[in-house]
Amino acid sequence: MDFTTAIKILGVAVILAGMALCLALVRTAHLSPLYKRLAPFALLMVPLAVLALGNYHVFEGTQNVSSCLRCHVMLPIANDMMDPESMTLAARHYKNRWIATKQCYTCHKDYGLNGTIKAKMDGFRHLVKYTFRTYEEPIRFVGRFNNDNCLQCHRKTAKFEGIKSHHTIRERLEANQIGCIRCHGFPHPTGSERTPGTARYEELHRPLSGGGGGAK
Amino acid sequence: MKRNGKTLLILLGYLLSAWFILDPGPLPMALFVFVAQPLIALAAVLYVVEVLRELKERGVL
Repeated sequence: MDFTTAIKILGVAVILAGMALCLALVRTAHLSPLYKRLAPFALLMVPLAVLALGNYHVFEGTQNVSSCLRCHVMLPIANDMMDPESMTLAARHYKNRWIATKQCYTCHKDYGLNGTIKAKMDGFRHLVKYTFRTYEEPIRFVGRFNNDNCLQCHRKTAKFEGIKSHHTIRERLEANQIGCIRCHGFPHPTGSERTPGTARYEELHRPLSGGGGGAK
Repeated sequence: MKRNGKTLLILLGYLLSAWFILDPGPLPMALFVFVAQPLIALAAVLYVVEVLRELKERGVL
């Protein structure tokens, strides 16, 4: 049993216990001694424990590719990533196992002190847009991609340091003044490929066989 | 209704939380983040206010 499943079982158990406490509280005389003993657990501690477990589920569960795939707008990105013929950056990292697990999160969490918080805030924005369908396809990356997402693995490797142009533009790379994809190609299918009505759009939206091809 | 209000808020929050924990899709997640959490937090705050008010009435605080 993995940790996420354990948290899931624990979450349901705590919720059931919380519900039982709430029902017991409703049947107890208001402000009676028993009410005062039950209330801190029923109205404060157990609810806060549920919030903690739920938030853990939000923060940890969303790191998996399967979580990203729950939104259909991610299908073309995932289909391309798992396509052995594709030469996008995501597909090359996937098929070569350069990133073995949590492929989406590894490149999109934004490293640094506030990086993960920013990624989560972006996630909440995406959640609102997806829930209320206030987005248009093809979806586009908002803002500037943080090169640290690439450099956290590539920086100081012999292969990276051995390329002269990396030294020439190092300061601009570190300052996000120039993107890695400027030289290294598209990370995902282009916007035109993901535009509804095109043949490539239909191809990229085919359901994934096996629910994600082993991506974690 | 007033005395059971907090309990009802929490129970509704629990139902939405259970849905999200069992089926973590985008809609249950949105309901947990934007509805269940505020409901549970509101109930907890109302309870703390109730406790503080009673402690003040009894002259403990």
